[in-house]
Amino acid sequence: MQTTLRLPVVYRKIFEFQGDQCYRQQFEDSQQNPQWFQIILRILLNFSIIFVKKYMEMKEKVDKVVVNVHTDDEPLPVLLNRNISTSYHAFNHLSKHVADNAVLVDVQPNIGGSYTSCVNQPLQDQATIRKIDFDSSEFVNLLNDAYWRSCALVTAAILKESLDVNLEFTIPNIDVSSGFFHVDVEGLNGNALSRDELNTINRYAKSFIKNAKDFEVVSIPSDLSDEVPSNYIVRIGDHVFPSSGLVIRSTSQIGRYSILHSKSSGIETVSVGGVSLPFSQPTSSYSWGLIVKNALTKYQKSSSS
Amino acid sequence: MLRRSLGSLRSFSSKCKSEPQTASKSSNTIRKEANLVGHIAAFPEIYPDFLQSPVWNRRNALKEELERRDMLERRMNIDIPEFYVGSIVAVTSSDSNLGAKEHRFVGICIRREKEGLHHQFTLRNTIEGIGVEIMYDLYNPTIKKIETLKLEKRLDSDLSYLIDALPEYSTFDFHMEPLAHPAGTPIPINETKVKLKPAPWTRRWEIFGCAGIEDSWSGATPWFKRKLQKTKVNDYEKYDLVAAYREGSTLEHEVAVQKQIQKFENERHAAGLTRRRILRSAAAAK
Amino acid sequence: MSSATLPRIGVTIGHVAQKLKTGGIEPSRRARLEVLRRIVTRCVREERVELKWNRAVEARPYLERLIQLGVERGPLDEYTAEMMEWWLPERDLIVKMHEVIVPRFAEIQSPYTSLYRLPPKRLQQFIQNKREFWKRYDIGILEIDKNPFPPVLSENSAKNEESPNLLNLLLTDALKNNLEK
Repeated sequence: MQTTLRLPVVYRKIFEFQGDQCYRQQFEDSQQNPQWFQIILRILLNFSIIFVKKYMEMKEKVDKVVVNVHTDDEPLPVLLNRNISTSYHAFNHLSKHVADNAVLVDVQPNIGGSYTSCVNQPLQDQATIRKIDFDSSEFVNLLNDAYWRSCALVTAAILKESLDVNLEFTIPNIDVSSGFFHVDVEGLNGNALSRDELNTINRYAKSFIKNAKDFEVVSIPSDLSDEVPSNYIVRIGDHVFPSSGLVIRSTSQIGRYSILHSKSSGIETVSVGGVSLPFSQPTSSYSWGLIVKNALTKYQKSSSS
Repeated sequence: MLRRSLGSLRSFSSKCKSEPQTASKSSNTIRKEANLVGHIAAFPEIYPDFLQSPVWNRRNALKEELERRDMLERRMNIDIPEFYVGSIVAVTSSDSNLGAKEHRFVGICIRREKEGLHHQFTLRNTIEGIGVEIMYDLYNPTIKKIETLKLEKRLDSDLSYLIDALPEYSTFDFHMEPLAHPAGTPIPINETKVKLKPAPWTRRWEIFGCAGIEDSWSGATPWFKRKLQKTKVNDYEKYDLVAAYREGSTLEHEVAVQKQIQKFENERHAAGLTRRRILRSAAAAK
Repeated sequence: MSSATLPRIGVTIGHVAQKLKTGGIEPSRRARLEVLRRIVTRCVREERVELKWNRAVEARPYLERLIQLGVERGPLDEYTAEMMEWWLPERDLIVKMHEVIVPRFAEIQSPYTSLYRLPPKRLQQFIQNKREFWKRYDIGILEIDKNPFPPVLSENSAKNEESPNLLNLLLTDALKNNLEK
């Protein structure tokens, strides 16, 4: 394949730029899995087509773009690197507090309709951006879905770190109103996790979340949608997952979090369920106890999907 | 944030009265209920034993309920008439050490205190020039009979000062004939003002503001008067509305208890065991 | 007190009286009542007052009971008249109580007052050696219901309280299921 030949060059160049070991690790892992190999290859190539090729040329000339950050008074114009800088960088011009609180971004490009994106996604064009945090009333459903999805992804990452790196995950779309989220794990031979194991994992989860790992997001171009079933690729720490929708900025935005229960939901798959609340929505331990109890009951009752 | 989470609670406990905005919309149901039950206006005076403790942290719904059942059972066995502080009451109690095996005492009721099964009342009389006070437990099973000889009230709800009054005010004939109270007429108030013996007294009666004592101030020595002015005048305490509210009874409790008594009576009457009535009020009788 | 027993007042009330700082008055139970009397008088005159939170909490039952006496017993009752006279030393307020406030609550059950919490306020106490000393106060609003002022809580706040905020969703669901059991 011709692409294989080109790959190392592009690949090296990307990470020269990003100075990151993780994608490399992921890439090397993926060489054992031909299907993933293809996908990551294409993504990287796409990276190169859309952004990276230009990054290389940018060594001499970095393309700049002006983005307006929405504030209460006047919009603040910010000069950013096109396709490199993210909304997080833009918000940092306003204040670190604003940047840290941002969960999603409402982007209104100068040309074309507005859309919502993740905070850690590179900005492509001139636009006005507005932060969405847990206090905004406008995008609550979107926020809740993104938060629930992120929690499921974090659960997957935590399980991967605490059990086995080679586990395979599917992350079903769960509505917030169901009261819990869950991930389906393949590779545990259908053995559900015991209470002791869950306690240990929960303890590890606390430290994992405390480390404030960013959700790094790459959106997948539409011409790749045949090969990659998801819209986004998300990296949390050392792990990469496909994601069907938006995710939050960082694990530091997760407050109370608990993995509740696991049950086998098929011959090979084990389902692990949990519940969580954002950091900016604190609650008493009594209320949290009620929520956990309710989530556990509902999860145990729910039919294995 | 807290308000939001409480807001979600509200949909389930819409009866939370101190919530703003939902306040003051319900109509006065308790008054209607009281009328329906035929609430006795003088309930706290006739049945001080059925009230709740004035000390709030001693109130215990289960204990009160259990005691109330015992009290009702006891009232089915003995007729406890209506009497007030100031009424003249005769109590016959059994006493194994006496030849007659029973003991009858007549006197003026000077105190009624405590709630529930522990309710006590004290009778006072002068026998051969010596003041005698006997404190009876209302629910003491050795009491055989309680009669009200004269149904009346005095100006105060506590006549403990009779101990320092001249003996003529607490002398009553043991062979007094019971005086019938005409049903439906208000309870007469005996407006006697007693004269106290010269000081010292058992307690500083002049600072309690008793209405039934005649001129306690002029007899006091100047030393007392000076001291009184400095420290002891606390007549403003009666304006403490909430202190009075804490100690007083509530309509809700009285209606609930009255309903319970009525239900108990009806059950026993329907079973044909007795015709005795517990709930009676001479003033409210038709 | 010959009149019939009154119903409960529909406000939260502690089982003992709380001490209040009495400012210039020497602290005593009399001084405490004096502080409360000022608050009650002011509240009847102005119908909505901003106070320190603990004072508002303490004064609310007094105001509530006073209005209840007016509603349940009327101006002719001896005890009510005595209380009104002491708690509202300004004559016109007794008239206002019986002619303006009490008719609002005829045939209505307690509570007749509302208490809201405001964000705490920092106020400068004094300056000593060019150092500023500040103190933080918890603030409450005490008001008599059905007053002519615009409502303290806006119309939207009721909507906000049923927001699809994640905590609200989960807690609502949990409570509902908890109650169904």
